[in-house]
Amino acid sequence: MRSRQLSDTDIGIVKQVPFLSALGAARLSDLIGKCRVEWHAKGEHLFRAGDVADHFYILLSGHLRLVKISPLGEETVMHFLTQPGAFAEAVSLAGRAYPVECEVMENCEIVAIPREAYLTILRSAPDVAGDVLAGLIRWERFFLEEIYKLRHTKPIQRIASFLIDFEERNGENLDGEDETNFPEKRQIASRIGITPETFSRSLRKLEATGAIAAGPKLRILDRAALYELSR
Amino acid sequence: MMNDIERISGVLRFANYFRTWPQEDILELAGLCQWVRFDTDTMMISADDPASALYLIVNGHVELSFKDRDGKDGVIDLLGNGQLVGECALVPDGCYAVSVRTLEATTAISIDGAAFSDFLAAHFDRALTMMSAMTERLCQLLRQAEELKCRSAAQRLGIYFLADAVPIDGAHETPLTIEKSALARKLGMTSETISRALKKLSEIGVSQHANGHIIRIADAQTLSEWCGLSGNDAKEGSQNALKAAI
Repeated sequence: MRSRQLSDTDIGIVKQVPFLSALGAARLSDLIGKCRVEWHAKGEHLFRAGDVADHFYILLSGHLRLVKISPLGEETVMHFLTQPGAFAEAVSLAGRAYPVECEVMENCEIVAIPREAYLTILRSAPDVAGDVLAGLIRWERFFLEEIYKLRHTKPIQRIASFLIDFEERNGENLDGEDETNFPEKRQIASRIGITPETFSRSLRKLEATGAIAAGPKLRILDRAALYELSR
Repeated sequence: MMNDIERISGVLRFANYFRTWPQEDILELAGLCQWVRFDTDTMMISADDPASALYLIVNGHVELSFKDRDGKDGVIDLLGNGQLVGECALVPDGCYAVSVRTLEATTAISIDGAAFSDFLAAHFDRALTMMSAMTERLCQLLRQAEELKCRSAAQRLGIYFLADAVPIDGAHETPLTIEKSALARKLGMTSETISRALKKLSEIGVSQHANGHIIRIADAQTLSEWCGLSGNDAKEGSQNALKAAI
């Protein structure tokens, strides 16, 4: 694993994380001094389910996926992390084990923040606890919305909604291409809780409306129509 | 005679969230609380309203519903005694993420959000236990999402029955304490889906007795395997963990 010191740009991203910026400049600088930027290649794992969560992370660039593997070895994608920001802070701060695997989908750069170093600094700034709780509530909202969609929306709505959300979150393409680079179809199906067969049928229906092109590479053709289908 | 603070602290110290707290902190927290009683079918909190208080359910059942960005809403969970709702009140200027409606007359303890937030800022170790409790809730939500993605309606209903099953006369029995319509909402199914799932489960030895108030499981091991639970799941899956999952 390669690593380097944080650049000003990296520090700018770290400062965007509310429960870190709330520490104040001096304490944050102290914490950052204990961290380095780590580079991880596609296919590597940052952590495995069951590992002690002694770090939480800031994603600077690249794509990750959080995966649950059943006792029978079946894989379910729980989330794609494609935007800079914090993750695994809830389990880490609570001193638990990671509940999922974290796998690198596209080469990434992350900052690994040691739990103990953060807690030591937090003890000297207990008023920051509210910001940490706010960060946890943000994840709670994410899961509530996820469960709502799984219970109350149809497969075609979920696919349309996923494509729109993914494109919105990944509008800036770093590889020079004009089109959003969506994850593989089987991974999208797993992420939104649809069997591959239902996913294929629903894609064909979406394609028939003219909202998307469902060839080897997914493309959004008519965003407004796709948005209507997501509702 | 016991005053309100003593009675409230007596309840708080048995709640999962606070049971590791020292007595003096429980008493201080009790000073921020008051009893509240809601009639059946009453909105306790409404999504998007400013969050001013958390509620610990003492006696009763409530239904949580989530409103999406287009204003449509749907039930996502059913909670009962000992559960805490409205954690958004711990965040300055926070708004409730879900609506909570009573399914029956419900008694709760309301905790002033701003005062509780100040209390946590002054008691770091208590703030850590709250973070841990909220993380536990996040892990439950993660498991729920996983179960919704991976298991059929009949498998999820089977897991719900297994969570409450007690051994009786060589079989297992589960008392159904909530109406089937409420159970359907809790599991995110229609009543028709519940009926179909029960029919499917009858093929693997699950039968209804006492007008559907008792569920008998002929062979819990067979049902457990059919529901896709590994041996470890079944052994480690305490009632709460199994229930939280579905």
